[in-house]
Amino acid sequence: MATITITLISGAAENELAEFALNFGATALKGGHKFNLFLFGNACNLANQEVPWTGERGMNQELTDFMDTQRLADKVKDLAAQGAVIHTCHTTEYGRGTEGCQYIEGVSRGNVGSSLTKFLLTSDAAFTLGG
Amino acid sequence: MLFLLTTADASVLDTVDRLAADEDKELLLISDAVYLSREAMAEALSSHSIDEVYVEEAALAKRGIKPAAAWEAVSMERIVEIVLDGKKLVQL
Repeated sequence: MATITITLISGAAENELAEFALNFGATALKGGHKFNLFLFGNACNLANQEVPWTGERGMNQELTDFMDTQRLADKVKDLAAQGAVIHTCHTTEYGRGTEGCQYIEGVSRGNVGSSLTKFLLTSDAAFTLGG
Repeated sequence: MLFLLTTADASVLDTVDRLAADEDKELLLISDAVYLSREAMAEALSSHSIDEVYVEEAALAKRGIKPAAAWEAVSMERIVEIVLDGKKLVQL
């Protein structure tokens, strides 16, 4: 059994890399490995609970269905429930004005100095994804 | 040395050459980088003396393309193995 860390710097709807990281993590966990995910830069938005708009959305069903393919909150929640350790960088959240937003269950506030450093020092493999 | 490519920008192969120097070079192509695995790009990749090319199966399927015969289409399970086997992994 190995421990793998991904430092993710791409957010949802930006490209496919956030989804790749989540699928990679789920597969690693199924394979009996440990998986850490550090949400850095634009990826820090993946830490937050969705806040649905309750008024008229102004999108037809076709567009809504397409946009739903880019929303990853449920996958983040599932990954945490499967045992992934997920931390954010609170400084990059601060820079985006989201530091006080509610986290998805299983996601923890973190930082480069302790969270990411601990992840890297305890991992057998680690890589950065996104940008 | 394992390089993780995420875009279809073939110019990064020059960076791969510089970073790998005399080490073996393996590519893991995910997302839009799977376009580099097409037969039309085989000669370009060969000119950079790439030893192995692994191509994300799901990204190929999403785009409806096939990799050149010499390259290996890989599942996510295999990608996890490749990452763990790689001594160094660099995303470009």
